[in-house]
Amino acid sequence: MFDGREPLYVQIADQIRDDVLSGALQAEEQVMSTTQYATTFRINPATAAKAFAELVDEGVLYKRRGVGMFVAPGARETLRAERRESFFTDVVDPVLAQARVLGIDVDEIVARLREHAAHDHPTPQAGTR
Amino acid sequence: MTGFGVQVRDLTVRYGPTTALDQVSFEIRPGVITGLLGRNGSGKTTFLSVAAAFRRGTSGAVLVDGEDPWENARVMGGTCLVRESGDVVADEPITENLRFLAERRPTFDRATAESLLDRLEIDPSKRPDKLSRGQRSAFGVVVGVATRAPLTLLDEVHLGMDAPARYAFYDALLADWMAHPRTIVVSSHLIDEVERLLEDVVILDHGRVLAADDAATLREQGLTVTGPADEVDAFVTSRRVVARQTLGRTAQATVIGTAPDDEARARAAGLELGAVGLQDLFVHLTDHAGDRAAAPLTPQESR
Amino acid sequence: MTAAASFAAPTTAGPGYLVGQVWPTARWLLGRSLFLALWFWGLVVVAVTAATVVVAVVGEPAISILAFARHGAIWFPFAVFITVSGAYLPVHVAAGLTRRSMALGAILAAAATAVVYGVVFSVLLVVERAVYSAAGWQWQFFDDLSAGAGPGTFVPASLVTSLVANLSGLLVGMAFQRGGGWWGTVTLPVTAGPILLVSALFAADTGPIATDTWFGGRGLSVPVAVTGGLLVAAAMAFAFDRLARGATVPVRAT
Repeated sequence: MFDGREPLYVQIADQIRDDVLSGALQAEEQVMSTTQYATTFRINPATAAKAFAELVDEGVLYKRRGVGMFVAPGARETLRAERRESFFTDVVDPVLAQARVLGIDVDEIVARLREHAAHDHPTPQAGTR
Repeated sequence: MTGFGVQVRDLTVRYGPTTALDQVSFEIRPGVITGLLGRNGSGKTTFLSVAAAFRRGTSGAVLVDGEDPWENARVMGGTCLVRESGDVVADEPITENLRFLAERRPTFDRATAESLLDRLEIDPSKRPDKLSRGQRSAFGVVVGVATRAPLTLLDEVHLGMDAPARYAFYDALLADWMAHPRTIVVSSHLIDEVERLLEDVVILDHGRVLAADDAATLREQGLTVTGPADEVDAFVTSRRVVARQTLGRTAQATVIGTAPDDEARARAAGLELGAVGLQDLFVHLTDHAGDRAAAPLTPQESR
Repeated sequence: MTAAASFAAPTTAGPGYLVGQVWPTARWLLGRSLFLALWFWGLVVVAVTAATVVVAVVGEPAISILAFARHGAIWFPFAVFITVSGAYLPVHVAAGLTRRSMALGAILAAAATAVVYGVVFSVLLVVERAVYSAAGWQWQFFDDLSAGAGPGTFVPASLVTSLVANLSGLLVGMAFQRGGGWWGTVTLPVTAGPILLVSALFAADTGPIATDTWFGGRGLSVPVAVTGGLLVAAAMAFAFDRLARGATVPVRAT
């Protein structure tokens, strides 16, 4: 864990964001303390603190004095909105670019996506909530 | 106060014709784990020796907790420099060494020392001069951690220790520091390994300070740009490029210094940005292959 | 806060400094020198007893055999105290103690060691003389202790010579530590020479070098010799302290 080239605090912040998005961390739930992060991952607690500071700025976490860090109410929604926005630029656009290079038709991609969606969710109309 | 801070002002140390440190100035924040990084001969040991009053500087000053450490009983009593050679009583058993230290160091914690010895698998009935090199280094680590000095200086102590012992050392150091905050300086060139422990970093090179900052800020000053060669070249124009590689028509450049619109520009040009590891940054900064003297990373701050 | 409270390091002066730094240093160095003294005197007793028996078998002892240990009793602790500057200094400074406290502690240990050597040697001489007189042999100290070979001479002579020898060991070690091999060797007449000088104050013949002409062919009276010896010792202690305070702990290769 935490072996990428990104700075450690970025990786920690990403990890917490992912956990909030996936629901592994619920609103008002306490996150691990900097000390717990430090001992678990052998890192300087200041690194975890920097990640927390960033997440507090973003409104994902908030601090209860003397108690610790908690997931802010509405954090999941905020993150979702952000991720949706970047979903097309970060995920879809590169797929299209790659497809163009390989000579794959957009229709083929759409068909593929439909097929997968039908497989995962037999009633696609129930849709995207 | 959680430990001694260190201020270094225009410190020069010469050994005969050799200048080991050339007018260096930097600070070590109290209560923080600082990495002192540099290649062999960069002046790391010399600086630590002056800070611990093992030797005097030629000119300039080092202030430990606001005072000159030389023959200063209070400051020396609160400073613990552990060198790889280990300055222990070599011909007495380790148990005797622990007694020796406990009697002289008000902050020495014998229970911590004993549990660490156990964890690092060192037989306390042995004499230091009968230990293997790795075990001798590990005993130095035990002394450094258990002394709990307000200023703890560990000079390449992990040399000779095998990987499991080194990781046990990193864990023990971090855990003990969190329980008893103090100033710790770890000198090393195994940057990948110690990087996670560090909050601040000082990079020395040929007796000068190349960089002194907190580790995250330092890392963020480096950036890799990958993509079509001509786009990469356009992107890095008039920036400080410390490394450049090409594979076919794809190029990767490592630059120092970032701009706020980097991401937007990169996206527009179809370039990928990446972070630079501290190790890579260090290698780039201290690489003298091109006969070009390394330039300090942040000239205003480092001098 | 918790850590800061426990950072009570020794203060610069006063009893805290003496008790916290000087006393442990003196005790430690004395302990090590006494451990070696035990071996030294143990071997001397065994060797002298054996030699006395052999001489008694082949003939009749006429002079003190123990007296031959005199030079060993000077130069052995001298060698022990040479190691303080090289081997002990780094350990001392690394333990967060000042060179000042090392100098003071080492001087105290040197003085205490001198008392031990002086007293042990004197007691053994008295025992040997008693054995000789019981056996009806003639006991004679082979050196020409000019003021006579009674306890009144050899007790102060042993004590003061031993003190100067130990301090000389400290000084020689520190001269090599500060100045390196060349300066250490060049300064030997000043650093180790006082041993011969003080021996000559008490005796006309001090062994390796004939000193019988130094003071007009005679040793001096005991009070004068003791005073002179102590003055030399004080000068050496002062010099050692001054040199020690500026000593660098060298970078050592393993």
